[in-house]
Amino acid sequence: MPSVVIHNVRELRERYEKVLVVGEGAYGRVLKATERITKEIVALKSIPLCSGDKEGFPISTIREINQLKTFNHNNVLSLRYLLLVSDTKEGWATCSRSEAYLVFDYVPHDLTGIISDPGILMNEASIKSYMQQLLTAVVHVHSFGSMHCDIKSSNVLVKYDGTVKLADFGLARFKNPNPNVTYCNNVVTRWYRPPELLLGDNKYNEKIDVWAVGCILAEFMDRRPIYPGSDEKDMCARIFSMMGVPTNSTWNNVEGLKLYRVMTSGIAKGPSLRDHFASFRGFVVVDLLEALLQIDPNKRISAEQALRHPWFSQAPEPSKSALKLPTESRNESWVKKQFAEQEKRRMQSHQQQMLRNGNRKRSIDTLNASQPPPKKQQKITNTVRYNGHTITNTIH
Amino acid sequence: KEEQDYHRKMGSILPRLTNQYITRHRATCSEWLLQLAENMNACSGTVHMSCQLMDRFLSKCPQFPRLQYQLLAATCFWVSCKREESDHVSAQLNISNLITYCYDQFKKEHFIYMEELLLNTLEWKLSEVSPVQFLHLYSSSICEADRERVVACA
Repeated sequence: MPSVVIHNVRELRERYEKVLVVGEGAYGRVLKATERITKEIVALKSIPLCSGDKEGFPISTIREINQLKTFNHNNVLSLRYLLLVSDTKEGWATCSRSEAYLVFDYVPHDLTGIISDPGILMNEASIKSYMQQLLTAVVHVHSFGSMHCDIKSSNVLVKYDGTVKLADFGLARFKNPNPNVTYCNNVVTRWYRPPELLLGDNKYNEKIDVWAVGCILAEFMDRRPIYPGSDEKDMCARIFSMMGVPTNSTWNNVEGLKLYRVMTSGIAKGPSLRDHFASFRGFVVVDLLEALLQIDPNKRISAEQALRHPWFSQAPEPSKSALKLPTESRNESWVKKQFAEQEKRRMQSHQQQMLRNGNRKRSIDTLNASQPPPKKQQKITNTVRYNGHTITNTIH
Repeated sequence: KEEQDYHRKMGSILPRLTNQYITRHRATCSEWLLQLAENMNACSGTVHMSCQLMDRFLSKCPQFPRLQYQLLAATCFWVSCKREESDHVSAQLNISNLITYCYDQFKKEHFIYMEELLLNTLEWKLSEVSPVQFLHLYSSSICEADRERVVACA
């Protein structure tokens, strides 16, 4: 990977034609752009540089590039090159506003978009293929002694032909060979955080990625996130009401974890995982899901074991192309736009309804307007999801 | 001559370093880095990595001015902290601290420029294998009691 240094912003504009902003978050922006010479579409991930307290390259960037240079796998989104734009003069000059971009291939879809689009009909062969590719990528990452630490459906990108690309290694890090080293507890987007992180463990291992993969599998089966908790406490309530509250006898030393007492108080028993997926009764996939979503990380299977699960060798065979993907991109920003539009429509109809209420009290019109309850129900869950996404972005 | 050929072949792995650096300055720099690490409560792996980064950088830029070795060493330490140190240490280490540790010889901009130079020269490859990793590997196959001793010796 060569790193290309460009000396001013004009040169950047000559090189790339910006198409649109694909994603925006605390980490910076992701732009979709066309390279003018080769006409290739690329994604530019901006790195906040020299802003605020000027601490050089951010830790996440150094780690991300370092990780990306280590991996070489078809299912891991590879870095083309690093683009440094600086307005600095040569030599030991003062650093004026400069930018840096990581340049990746542009991948149109992600799993959030594919799962939320009601127009896409899922089938088992394609789900199996996506899961298999995702797990191979995770096995590859883990084989280097590294952890991704932010697996979620919007970080799993899908090309038109159905090839899965695992992306965003901003939180990824290598495991220290010393078993006593502690890591930052605040990793992984909330809905995909495993119980050990929620309970305040800071000596976790690569099994946290396996939990997140399990959450994605559940999301495929349900077409919505399995644990969309509104905060850490709610996350624990949702997980433990399904799986049961862990004790020292079911999970070695769990009661010694920092937040154990706070997080496990007042949890009501809810339907179990098998009850939740009752419509899948008798399917082998529930077996795999249960193994991936094991609350005790020591009992949770590794990504490699998951790949050998009988589900993958059963009919129907995994097939990349079983699912016809739309030509327009279906990704997280598309989902957000859909929710924003829905919200706007809802507000408008609400306003109209208010007006009607004001003009003609108790007319048949108002009864009609407030009629369809199932749709409304859907909207409510959608807004919750949307909120979840905005919050997840602030976590970064 | 054979040795030179060997070094040329292994260019990216075995850094070619100037004699003067090896005999005189390397020890001073490492000692300073060890002190720095002790002050910061950083783990030994970070020091090993900083030394390695420095060796690799100097093998690529043998002309690097001797007077800036401290800046280079501090920046190497800074980068390896960012890469592998647990979070309380890397949060503690910022430019103003580094400036103090270097007795105010350098400015903020120097560090930022040096960091970019270092990373670009090494092509952002920071994951070269270090001897300490082998020690950890070997020690993981020894029983628990011996492990502490081996790592302490290292």
